[in-house]
Amino acid sequence: MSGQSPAATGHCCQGTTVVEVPEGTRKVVLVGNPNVGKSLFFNAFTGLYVDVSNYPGTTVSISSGRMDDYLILDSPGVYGVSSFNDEETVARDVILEADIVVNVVDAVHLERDLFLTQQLIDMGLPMVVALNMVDEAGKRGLRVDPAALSRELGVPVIPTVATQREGLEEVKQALSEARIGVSDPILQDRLLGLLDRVGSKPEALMILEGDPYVAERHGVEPQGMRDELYMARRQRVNAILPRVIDRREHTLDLRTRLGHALIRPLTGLPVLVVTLFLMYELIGVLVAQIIVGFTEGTVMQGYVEPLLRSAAQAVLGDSNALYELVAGEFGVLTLTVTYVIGLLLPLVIGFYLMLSVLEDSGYLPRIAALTDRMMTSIGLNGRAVIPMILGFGCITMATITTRILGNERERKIATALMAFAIPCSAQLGVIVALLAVAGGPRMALAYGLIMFMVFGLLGVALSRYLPGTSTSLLIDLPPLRVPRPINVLTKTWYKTTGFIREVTVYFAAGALLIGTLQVTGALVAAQDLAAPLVEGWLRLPREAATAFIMGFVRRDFGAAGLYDLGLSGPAILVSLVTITLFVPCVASVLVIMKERGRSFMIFTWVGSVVLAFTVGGLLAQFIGLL
Amino acid sequence: MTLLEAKSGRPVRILEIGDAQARAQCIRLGIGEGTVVDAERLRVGPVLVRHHDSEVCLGRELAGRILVEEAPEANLRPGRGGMHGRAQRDRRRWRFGSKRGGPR
Ligand SMILES: Nc1nc2c(ncn2[C@@H]2O[C@H](COP(=O)(O)OP(=O)(O)O)[C@@H](O)[C@H]2O)c(=O)[nH]1
Ligand SMILES: [Mg+2]
Repeated sequence: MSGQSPAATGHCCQGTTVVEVPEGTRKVVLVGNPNVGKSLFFNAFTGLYVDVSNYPGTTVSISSGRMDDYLILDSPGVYGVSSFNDEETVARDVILEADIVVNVVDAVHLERDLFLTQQLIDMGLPMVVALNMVDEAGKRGLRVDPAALSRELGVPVIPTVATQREGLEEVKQALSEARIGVSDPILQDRLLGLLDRVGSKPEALMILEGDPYVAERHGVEPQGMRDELYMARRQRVNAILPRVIDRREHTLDLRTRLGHALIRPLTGLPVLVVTLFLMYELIGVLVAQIIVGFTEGTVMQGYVEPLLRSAAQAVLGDSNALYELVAGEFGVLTLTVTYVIGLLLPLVIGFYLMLSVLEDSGYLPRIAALTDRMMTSIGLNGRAVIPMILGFGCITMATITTRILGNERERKIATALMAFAIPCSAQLGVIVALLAVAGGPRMALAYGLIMFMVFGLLGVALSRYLPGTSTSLLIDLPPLRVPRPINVLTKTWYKTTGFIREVTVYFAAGALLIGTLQVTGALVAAQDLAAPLVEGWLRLPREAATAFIMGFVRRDFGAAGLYDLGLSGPAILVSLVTITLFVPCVASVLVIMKERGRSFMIFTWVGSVVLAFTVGGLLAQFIGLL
Repeated sequence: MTLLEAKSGRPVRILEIGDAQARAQCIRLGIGEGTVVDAERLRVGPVLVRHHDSEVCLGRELAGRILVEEAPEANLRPGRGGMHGRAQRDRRRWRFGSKRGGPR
């Protein structure tokens, strides 16, 4: 399952500090498994003034805020501290800097959650346990005795219901009583042995458990004691459980049944289809057509661009190359602003909204389970549905999200599939409109089938020829919940701003590149070059070449260019298939280069040109035979 | 046998997990080696493993690298009202002895 080398996460170098704090402020880190209520604690403790930063090189964000003399940090949800993935790496680094840990545990899943608790205790960190969700435990016929748990662990345990703000004040008060809990004496002896070399007990434990990154920081060999320590810890936790839990007769509730229905294909697939349809209505119709029509067309092209143009004119004068580069047809200023704010922003907000709802409801892991089998046939596992869904929004955004996948091989497969065969929402809008012109449902069906086949075959081929093996799905199914709107909105906001901040520069660079090609006449030369291929092989009019060339800039520009050509139904089908498979937009090409390296970027770029013309041409010849 | 081959709905004891990182993650989740779990191979899908109040999905390839043995004596869900759906039907059949597999 591993496959990440220490070099792959180069951000965790010596002396990395997550958040700088003034002297005398104590760092309190909220730690817990995913979905246990950490963020509710964080919000209740810190109020409005919080700072959210994206941890370098990851899609993981860290929130921090003040409470009295404390700095409160919210860490990503993890099941244990080590470095199996980005979340864990980030959580580990935040925890290693903690003065006090508030460990939030879910009373319903103590068996799972106490493993992390005991690991934090073994690290020797002063801590307080917030025994959350006691309301839900009660409903499930579970009673947990906080006093007994506190005796067993040796740290304060406070029962809470974060949704009702019950017990939160008590947790706050207990911070001054945070204690180091009861750990295995033999383990503690071992840690002391490492302490003079490493200097910190938490880091010594990481090294003992074989964490390669922490070991590298201290220039020592990681020790392979993880299995042994994990088993001992698990045994200790399992011994504690019966002494603190009172479990009464209970039947399976409706939610659990519903949860099962969602992962069984007979019931789960129809639900998934309906969900995807609703997503399409919301994103593909409401956002991509109506809202973007307003933000891009009315606001940006109607008001902002003219304003920028006249400003540029005043400074640079017009009809010179510099003006063209700055504010011309593909001006860095005009194109970037229109694209990023007018087009991308609403789409990305829409997609992250949806993703946050799916995530917080507990449905997303179930979609992953449901689609896992299909995904394994193309060398991925169920987790890859997340970037795939996002890919229909914006390939650039989705390419960044491939970081959540298990290893580099999976990231390559997912990146290539999206770059080749998934139309982004900007393009999809134009494609849907053109399909309607071309002949309605029958054409749409043909287009869908062709793209699905290409996607499948490509996935199978990539998974066969890319070296290495993919990781398997191993996913804990959280309970189904009605998402909390505030949670969904804040998540959406931080993910969106994080994305826009990260990629704007790539869109600007892309615009500059295209602008240069245009000013130097290279764009026209490319059109002439492509013309014979377009006429002879794709059997399309010469002008269609322009549409393809425009696809370099923005995928929807390309598709939009086909509108005005008055093509016949079959010709529209051929050109849409070709343009979908054709190169991804300049910004995604640049992000692919940043994330996967230059040779992989060249592979996807050249590959997509070849694939687009091969499939499009074959289709044209085939239709010609009919 | 492997977890993949285990009959749906019968309790099995996990003997060996043939992947270091998955082994660690399973211990964290409470389904490490030695645990008795209830496994169900989902149709066209991964293997669903249930233990107390948690549910974990394991891809088939991984499930094929996890060794298990039947654990008919185990009282899997103490104080629980029982299983349901296919798992429950299978279990009943097994209880009445009509489809009893030989002891390992
Ligand atoms: N019933 C109940 N639900 C809770 C409680 N605490 C949190 N939740 C819900 O659990 C979900 C996860 O909470 P969140 O704060 O996002 O968890 P995080 O992933 O640990 O940050 C949300 O839907 C919350 O409404 C609680 O004490 N009782
Ligand atoms: Mg959270």
